[in-house]
Amino acid sequence: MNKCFALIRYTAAMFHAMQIAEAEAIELGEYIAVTDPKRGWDATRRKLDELVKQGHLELPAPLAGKFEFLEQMHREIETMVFAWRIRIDHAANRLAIIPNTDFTPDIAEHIMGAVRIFMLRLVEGLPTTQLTS
Amino acid sequence: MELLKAYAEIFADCSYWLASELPAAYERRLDESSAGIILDRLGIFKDECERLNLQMTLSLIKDAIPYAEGWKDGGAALLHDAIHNVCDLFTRELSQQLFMRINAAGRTFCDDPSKNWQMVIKRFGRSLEMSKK
Repeated sequence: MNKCFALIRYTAAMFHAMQIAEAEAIELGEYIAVTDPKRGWDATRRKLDELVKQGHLELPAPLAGKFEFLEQMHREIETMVFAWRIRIDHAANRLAIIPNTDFTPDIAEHIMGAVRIFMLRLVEGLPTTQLTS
Repeated sequence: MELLKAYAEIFADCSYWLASELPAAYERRLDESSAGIILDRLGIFKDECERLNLQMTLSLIKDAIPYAEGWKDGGAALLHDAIHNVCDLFTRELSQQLFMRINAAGRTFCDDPSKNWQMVIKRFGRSLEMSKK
């Protein structure tokens, strides 16, 4: 991703960023027990949204005490979506760059930064046992 | 020598110092300081050639370094021709390489693509590998 960015291949850098974000969103989805048979970006986002809206008192037992983490992840996902808004499509439960989209260096760096923070928060909060698959 | 300046600061710097100290070698009036400068620059040049995998130039630099080190013991007489050979071969070898220009801001992304991502790579290396496919 970073090499693509350095070589001014911003769309390619965004492709890598999306792949990273998507793979780990699925991982997060498993942790929060997404029930949607179609595992993917939107399924995780919806479930996270639902959990956060329900509040910490309604959290399922396996997620007890993890409300702050979930709230943080919810915010980080929304930050990513905000960073790439109108440039990346996630309607089909997958992330896809909208054809003919141009990424300026600033936008690309913003998206890469948002993905990096999302990943760092996951490193902090996702139990390591979740990462065995 | 002009070609060197076009590629990178390091080569421009080396070419400047080597060129300015070369007459001293030619006229066999090298002193401690001139020999030291030539030796330093050859060392930097050697590291850069290693980094860029310019093997032919690298081997000539390795031949030239002992002449600079032994400048008091007759090395000075051979140093001038050795450096000329280095510069000549370097120019030829560069002409056979494809170079991509990276602006200064992008250099760190290319030189150290995992910078600021080490924690993420340690934990989620699998998804980063996936993103390369």
